Amino acid sequence: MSSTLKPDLVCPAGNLPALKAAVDNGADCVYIGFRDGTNARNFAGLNFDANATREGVRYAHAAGAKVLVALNTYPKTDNWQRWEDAVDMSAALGVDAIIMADLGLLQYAAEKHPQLRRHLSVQGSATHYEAINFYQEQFGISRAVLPRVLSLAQVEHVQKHTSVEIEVFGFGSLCVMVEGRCALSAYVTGESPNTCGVCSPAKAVQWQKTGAGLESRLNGVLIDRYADHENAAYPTLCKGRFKVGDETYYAIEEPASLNTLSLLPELMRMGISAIKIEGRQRSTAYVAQVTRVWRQAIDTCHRAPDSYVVQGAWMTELNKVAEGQQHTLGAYHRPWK
Amino acid sequence: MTQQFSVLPEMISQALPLLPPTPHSVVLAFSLNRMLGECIPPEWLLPLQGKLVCIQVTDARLAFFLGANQRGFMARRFSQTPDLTIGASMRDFIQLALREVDADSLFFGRRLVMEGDTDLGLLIKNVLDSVDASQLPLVRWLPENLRARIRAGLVS
Ligand code: SF4
Repeated sequence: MSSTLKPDLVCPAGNLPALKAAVDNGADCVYIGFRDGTNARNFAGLNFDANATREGVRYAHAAGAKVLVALNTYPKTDNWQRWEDAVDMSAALGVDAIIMADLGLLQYAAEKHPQLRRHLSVQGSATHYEAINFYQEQFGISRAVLPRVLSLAQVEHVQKHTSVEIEVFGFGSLCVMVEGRCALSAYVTGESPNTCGVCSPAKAVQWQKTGAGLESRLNGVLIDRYADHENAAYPTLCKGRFKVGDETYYAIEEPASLNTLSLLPELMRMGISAIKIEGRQRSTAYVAQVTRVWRQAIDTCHRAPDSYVVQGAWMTELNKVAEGQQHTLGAYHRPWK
Repeated sequence: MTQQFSVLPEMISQALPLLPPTPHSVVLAFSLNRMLGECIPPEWLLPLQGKLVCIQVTDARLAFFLGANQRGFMARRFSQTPDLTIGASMRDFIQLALREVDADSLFFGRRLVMEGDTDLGLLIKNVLDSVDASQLPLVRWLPENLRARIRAGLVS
């Protein structure tokens, strides 16, 4: 048995069946959101009310797993109360930690419920250890989730200079513009993750079959046009195909899923505390499949990091659920950084 | 992946389109409402009121028309201009109901087609996803050998 820290596997759940699937398939933690704009996946019909949260916490705790609640959007002056209520409700329901980005909310939670663990959300966009240590000093955060824009070397640099637990994204759709700092969705639709809890809201999305192919539009703006054999992707502006000069291509980011299975030994060697799976908007089948694969991979790597290899079967399973059905190491793999 | 539509016996899939649309829409609405049971409050379906959703089973040439009222889903009459159309093969729909595939994955792979009001589509997906699988009538009603064949279809 290796002596390295075994990172927590942190899995998404948009509803109770997904939470149960995550727990049943070996998640150490499941992260959820309430049914309003207090989290960054505020989609119609998704998420947890008080009863579902209570049942989820009961189910997870019975299996030795934890429940984390994302309250990671930014309140405005006229609706601050809703965020305070969400913090109080999390504490009352006995969840294990709350994930936040807003400074006022972090302060409120630290004062009102000091015993409840606080995590810094990826929406807080902390990309360097000075920021993370500041959050620790001011608000006593226990963990920080790093944006999906850092290279491995940068992740290690952060990890080395802080005692705050570091959580990184391991799998799922990519969000390439330093998450919380992205204004692309707001630019086209007036709503963004930080303001309304949603990137590219469904009400602004149109899918249409045309003679030229399947078109996706966001508030009327053509995002992509897929030929019959091409895989579709979420219609976010960052993953649109644009005409630049004479060429039409994915000028910002290819629609692909982040998959860091091959980086596991490296992440564990660095002492990363947790690996996060993206996708609270996905269904139970996705959560079950992805959790199962990552549980096996983390256990295998922890047992024998030196002989760890990514198994073909794991990749096949993950390929089935990938956005764009291809994989990338994202920013982690930028050797020149 | 090559598509195989051998799940339903040939005779049944040929006979299905002969039914007038309303009866099978009624059966679907009834089944969905039973499935929602007590775990989903009917208010969740409020945005569906006054809307028309067409569910097309592409390989069975079968279309269901649904809307919602205060009590839950309701069957609606045939229309050329639904607010939302969701299309997939019978096998994919059954696998979705069995929670064996993820709707977004089918969509990325172009096996699930959605046209029209995307917000409604997402709502329906999320509402159905919130139901505990153990309460799904389909799960209880489908014979195990048929489920096994459906699953086997995935890997062929
Ligand atoms: S537009 Fe792209 S980069 Fe910006 S928030 Fe949405 S997914 Fe992230």
